[in-house]
Amino acid sequence: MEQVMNQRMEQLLDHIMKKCLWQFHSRAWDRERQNREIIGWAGRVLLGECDATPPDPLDRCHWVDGVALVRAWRERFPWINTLAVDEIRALMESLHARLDFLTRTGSLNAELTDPHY
Amino acid sequence: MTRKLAIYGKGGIGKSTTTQNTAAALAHFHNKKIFIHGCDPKADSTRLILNGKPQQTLMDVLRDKGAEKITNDMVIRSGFMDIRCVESGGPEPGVGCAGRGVITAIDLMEANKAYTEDLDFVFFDVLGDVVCGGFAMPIRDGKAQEVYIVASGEMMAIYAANNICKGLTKYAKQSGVRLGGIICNSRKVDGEKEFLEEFTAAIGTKMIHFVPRDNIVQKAEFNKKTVTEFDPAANQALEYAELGRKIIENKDFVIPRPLTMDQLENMVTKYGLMD
Amino acid sequence: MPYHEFEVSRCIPERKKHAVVKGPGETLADALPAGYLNTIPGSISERGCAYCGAKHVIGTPMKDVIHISHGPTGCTYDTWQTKRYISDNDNFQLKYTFATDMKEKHIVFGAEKILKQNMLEAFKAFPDIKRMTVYQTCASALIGDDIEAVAQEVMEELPGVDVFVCNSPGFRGPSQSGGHHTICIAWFENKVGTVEPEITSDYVINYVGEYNIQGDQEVMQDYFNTMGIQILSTFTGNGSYDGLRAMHKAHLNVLECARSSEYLCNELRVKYGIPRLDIDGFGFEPLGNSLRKIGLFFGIEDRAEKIIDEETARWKPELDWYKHRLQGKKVCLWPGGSKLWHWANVIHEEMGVDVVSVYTKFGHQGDMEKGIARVEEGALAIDDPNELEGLEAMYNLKPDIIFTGKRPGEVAKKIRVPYLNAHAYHNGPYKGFEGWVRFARDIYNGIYSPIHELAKIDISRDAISTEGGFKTQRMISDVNLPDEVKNDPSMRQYTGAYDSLARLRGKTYPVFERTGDKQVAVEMATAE
Repeated sequence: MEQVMNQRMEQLLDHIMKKCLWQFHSRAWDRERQNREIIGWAGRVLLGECDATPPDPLDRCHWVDGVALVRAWRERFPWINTLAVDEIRALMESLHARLDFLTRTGSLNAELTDPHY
Repeated sequence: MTRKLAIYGKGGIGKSTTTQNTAAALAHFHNKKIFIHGCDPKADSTRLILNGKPQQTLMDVLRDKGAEKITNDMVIRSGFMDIRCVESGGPEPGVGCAGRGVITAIDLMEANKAYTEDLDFVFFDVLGDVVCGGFAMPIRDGKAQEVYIVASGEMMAIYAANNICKGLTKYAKQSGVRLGGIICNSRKVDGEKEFLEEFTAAIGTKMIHFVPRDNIVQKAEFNKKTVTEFDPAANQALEYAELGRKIIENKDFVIPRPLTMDQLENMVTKYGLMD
Repeated sequence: MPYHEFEVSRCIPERKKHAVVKGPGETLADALPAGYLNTIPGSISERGCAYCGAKHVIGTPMKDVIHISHGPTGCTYDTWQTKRYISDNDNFQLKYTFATDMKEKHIVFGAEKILKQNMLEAFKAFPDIKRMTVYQTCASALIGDDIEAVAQEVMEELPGVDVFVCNSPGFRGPSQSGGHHTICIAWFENKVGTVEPEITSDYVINYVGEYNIQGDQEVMQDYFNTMGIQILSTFTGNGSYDGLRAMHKAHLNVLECARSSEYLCNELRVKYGIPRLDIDGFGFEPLGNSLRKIGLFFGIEDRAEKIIDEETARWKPELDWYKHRLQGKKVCLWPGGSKLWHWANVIHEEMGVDVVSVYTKFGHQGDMEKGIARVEEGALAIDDPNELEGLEAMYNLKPDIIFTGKRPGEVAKKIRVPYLNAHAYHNGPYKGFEGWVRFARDIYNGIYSPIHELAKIDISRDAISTEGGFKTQRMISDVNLPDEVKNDPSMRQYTGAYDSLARLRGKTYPVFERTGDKQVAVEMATAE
């Protein structure tokens, strides 16, 4: 079961890596925020926990990327529509952790900690 | 064979005065053909030879007419004893690049073959300190083979001399430039001669001549003349003649060994505290 | 080992850290090429300078501006015209270029006077143009001319003009990227917020990092206008100077080339709270998703969907025609910076080509992260390559075509590898749905051009066959295609116009009622 979950997480991750740009902002603190917010929104959208457009522009921008992710996932990975609430939460958690590692904590990009833009 | 000399030294030490007086003495007493190239943007290195005649500088002509239009006639003037003079000139303080002006001026003079074969000596009279690559031009690429540094027993003059030696060391290998000695232009400070003798020995050169202080230099200068022209029989004229003779006969050309700051401080303390 | 060592660079051991092969199961945390470092002595870099990065790449696409280089004319000439960033004001900024023509005497005496004279003369010669940018060069930087002070004087003497000064001499940073950075920050600090724009829509964006190469910006502008979105400014292709001074009033920054201008978007987010949305204008799916996201942000997704449906129906059959003929062709994707990741995945998915190598001349490690993330396993990623490494890679990888700049492109031609100009394009625009088909057509024509059949023959050695006659590219490309593909009536070659921009210029757009207008109307009704 864990193996299946891991494979599924990798599929979602592969989609993000090949199709998205938001995870690669230039500084570590931006990547931390982007990953947290967009995966967070994606999880809430998957769980049907948000039905209104967020009023704050910065939130809304993250939400937009979250919605786009979920739409693409649902189309490409039909299994995602069969998951239970707990499974979705666990999946999002492991995805977030892996994404954070690849783009931030494990990243070899030496510019991530440059204090200036 | 023309000998090319560059005169360096701290600002205000009397480089231009010494250069012109020595040049005049070389011409008058030793019958030498001389060319003075002033490399100071202030363009005041040749007024004693030209009797104050204001000279159009190389850079002025370059600015007004363009490099390709410059001829020797436009910028070279002859003065006392037919000594030929040119001033590089340059920008007013705080703008442009005076160092580039020095480079350009010397290149132009060479291109125009201004330093003719019949000359015995070409003097480059250079701005106070070697502040950038431009002011090192006379000692780079073998433009000048011999350097003389004008100094006195004052602390800052020695510091400057030591710094100039550092610059010279950098170019000695590639260009073959050598230090011919240090000229003491006396300020009548205590232990001046001893201080300079110890300093010159420490860096591996000699004090080529001790030029005593004499008010006739200022008097002649006030008349826009060198001492030799003003009064060739004066003692000071003979001092410059003697300096000229020593330069003619000089065989001691060295790569100096500039002192470290610590060594220099110790020496300054020793002489500075003398009563 | 993930790092790749070139035979030709064995003598430069530091180079090994600059190339990586994406191995099976490897991630970005295993290997990433070094990037944005000073060029290693002995490695003849293909990079430009920071002056070029600031002026040629970013500054000059601004259209209603006199662009002056304060330096020798050579700097100006070498950063002029070759990038094909056209504009809808008759290409003013491409037709005219200005330099102060610094000479020896200006170096010695300072060049502020001649700069001022040039600025005044330029404004006099073009009385309709009231905006100017002045670029410092190595020469004027070294002598320390105070360009800002001169600009101030000119602005005082000529009321109504505005001047931007960019101090990015050639030696500032390891590559042109240093110049991108410098000009972005300088513009943000000195010009953003100095004009208050007229807002005409509920949906207001800055379109950032888009340089209107052969009309890219105008294509995207058409989509935005169709959606009723106001483009306050485009940074900087086809962009107006005053529009760019008003960037602070946008609701959203839509960022295309993050490499050159993410700095600006980041600063705008921090200071003005404007969100940054990174998009891809290249490729049907990425472009469609980008338009959808912008639509979703403003709550007008239906308008985006309408465009996507129409455009896809119109152009997809033509893209597919090329896709069948480009299937499995090997590509080296060797641009300067951002196209490395813009194109890496989508040309594989939508045109069927295999990206066997990516490189970047001036990109940073972040660009490599994006690029390597998007390519398939086995691809060779190179940072700041030199010509010999490029040759070695082409000999080993045997690409069918490379996408790169014109100088490395000429090198490729020498070993009979066709190339497409990734910077200035061949027959662009390449953005937009139609543009993407134009790109596919250029790739197709590049690979199958009959000239390459001839170029492969060394006439000093090989016999030239007189049999078989002349082969068109269609005869070459279709030789192994199954009949059902060859004769499939649902696909066709590109049928667009030679000039795909002509129909966009002067087009009228739907007027959408504004929420603000409605409120005003209600208030007025109540007052009555």
